[in-house]
Amino acid sequence: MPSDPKYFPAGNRIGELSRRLRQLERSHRPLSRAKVTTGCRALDRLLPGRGLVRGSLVEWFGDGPGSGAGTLALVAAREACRSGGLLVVVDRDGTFYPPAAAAWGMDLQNTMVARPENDKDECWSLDQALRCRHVAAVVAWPSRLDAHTFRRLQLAAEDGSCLGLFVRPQAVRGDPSWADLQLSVSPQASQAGWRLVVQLLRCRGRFGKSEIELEINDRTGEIHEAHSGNPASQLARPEASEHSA
Amino acid sequence: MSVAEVNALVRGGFHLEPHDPLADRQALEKLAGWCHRYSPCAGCEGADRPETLLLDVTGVAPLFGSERALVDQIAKGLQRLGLLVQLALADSIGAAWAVSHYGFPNLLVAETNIVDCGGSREALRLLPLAALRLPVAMVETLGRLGLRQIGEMLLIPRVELQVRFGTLLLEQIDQALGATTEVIRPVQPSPNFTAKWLLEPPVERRDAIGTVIGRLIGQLTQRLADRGEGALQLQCQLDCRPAATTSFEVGLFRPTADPQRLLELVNMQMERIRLPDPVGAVLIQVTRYARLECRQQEFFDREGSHENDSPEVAALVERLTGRLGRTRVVHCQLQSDAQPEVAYREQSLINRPPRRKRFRPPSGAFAPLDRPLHLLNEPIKILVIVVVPEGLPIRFRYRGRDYEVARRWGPERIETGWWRRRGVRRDYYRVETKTGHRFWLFRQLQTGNWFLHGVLG
Repeated sequence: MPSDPKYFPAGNRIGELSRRLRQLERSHRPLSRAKVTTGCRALDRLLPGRGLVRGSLVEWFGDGPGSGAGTLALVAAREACRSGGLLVVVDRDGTFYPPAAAAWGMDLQNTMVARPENDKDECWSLDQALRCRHVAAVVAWPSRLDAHTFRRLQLAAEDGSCLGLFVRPQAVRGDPSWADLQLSVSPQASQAGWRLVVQLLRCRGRFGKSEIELEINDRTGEIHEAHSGNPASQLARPEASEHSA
Repeated sequence: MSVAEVNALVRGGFHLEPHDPLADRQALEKLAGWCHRYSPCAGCEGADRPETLLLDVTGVAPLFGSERALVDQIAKGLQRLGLLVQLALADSIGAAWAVSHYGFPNLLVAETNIVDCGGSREALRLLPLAALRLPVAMVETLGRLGLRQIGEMLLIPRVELQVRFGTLLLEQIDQALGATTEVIRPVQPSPNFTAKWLLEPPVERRDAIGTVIGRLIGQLTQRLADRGEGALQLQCQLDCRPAATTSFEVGLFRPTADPQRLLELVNMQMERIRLPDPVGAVLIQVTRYARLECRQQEFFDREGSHENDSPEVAALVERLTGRLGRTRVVHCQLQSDAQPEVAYREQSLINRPPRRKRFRPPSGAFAPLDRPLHLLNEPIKILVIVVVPEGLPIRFRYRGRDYEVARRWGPERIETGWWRRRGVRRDYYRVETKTGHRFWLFRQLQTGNWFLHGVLG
């Protein structure tokens, strides 16, 4: 029987269990789904499959206004739209500033901005946009999503093979979520560049938290892993690996 | 006349609009369509920038009583539309054109003139040569030779005119006198896509009203499909008695004759309106339509890139617009303007006019972090703590939270011109707090007050 320990050497038992759990979690989706880079290779290395998965939802929890969570989400959206497809921005507050998005390399010709007036219209707009196969990414800032609505949005993203990027406040971090990936973004004071600590809270197919400190170059906008400059601290940091223990 | 001259003449101010020749032509063609009630053959003159309507009223006058009655009725109808008209009726198009343009002493007064049958030569005799629709250079040449009126021209033998000026001059003279036939290119009357259903007694139930709307849409889409046309804009009117009529519009991204799609969009609007009283009549009119095989507009302005210009994208745009409203589903374009609030403009994706020339956005002058991802609709005045008067803030409060400034970049001075009614004079700073949060602040130079205008993602 497959569950009999004698079929698996002791050393491979845990790895095999991990692989089966990943398969069960992905059982309703094909294993080979198109991957999208987050725009930062170091952050990609934290994720199983080295990137975000099309047809999934990603939550970015920001530590207050000006935390950088929206910036990282927009960069990921830019990468998702590189190979074609629309970007739909669902801007409930009406504060999304297109010139900033253009400065980040977003093609405004391929961007549609929808401004719903209430929560219900916002959720409906997200559902419609995620479901459209020609939409590559949807960026939104939904504050409250009940479990039922969240599940519907997750199914819509799967159906449309769209990447949904939701920037949300830390206050809702404990709410039920159907996002495949949850990241927490906390800014840090620094002397050079914009330092953001990104913590991987939850990711399907990966166990245990991971954290990385990123730095955004003020002049070029390039995002890379921040280095403290101390070789000892770099040696002490464990490398991110696909096969977590 | 230059703008400065107009400003000097009209001291009370004036409204300036750029000249749009295409819009002028379309308006004139629409007017020609209106004139079909007087003549089955109504069109515009065949010029690059037509300014004249031509109507063939051969045999029409008895229907209106007399030629005078016909002319008066046309003139009154056009005046009711707010137009100043100079109208002439003659044997030929050339003679009518000449009299209407040069036969009236005062161009600012509406007048009519009927040239007697066979009286074109006499009516044209004293008119200037420009009334023959000759090129300006030829008129000037004739003027230098001492010829200024058509009567003087007609006294010269035709052979001499032909030898000296070619055949064009003789052709124009023959057209004016009716010796040569001219043809009017008529504007086809626009079809009327309107369907109405009277409900007696008036109905309150929404499902019944919905059924009626479905049937009317079915009729309209059948008529559209028969002509190969698709609807781009619908107007629905519900006659609620005794209250006023309730109406709404539905716009589409691409022309369609699909009744299900139109019904879905109309039902989305119906869900949002309240009917004050029972509905006594339903009227649906297709106010804009286009050929079904033509694209209304391209979402993407890239050659060969039609991957996203698909029916699915069109359907998404229509559904979002139908539920959220035309002004809430937009496409943004950058503008060359220093003031952040107007550095871009929004365009509704429905009924967007076709771009006449390829839009070139202003070249990026900013680094990615130079502008905030969120720009507040109105800058918020903030309380700041400064070390010295007129100094830079070291602490500020926003949304009930205090932030201490660790780093700042600036100032970036943004000033608008004196001609702008709501000009700005601001020194902008990007600040990073001790917690790493980033904001976009400015100091208003006129008052010295500090405002928070944007948040960096």
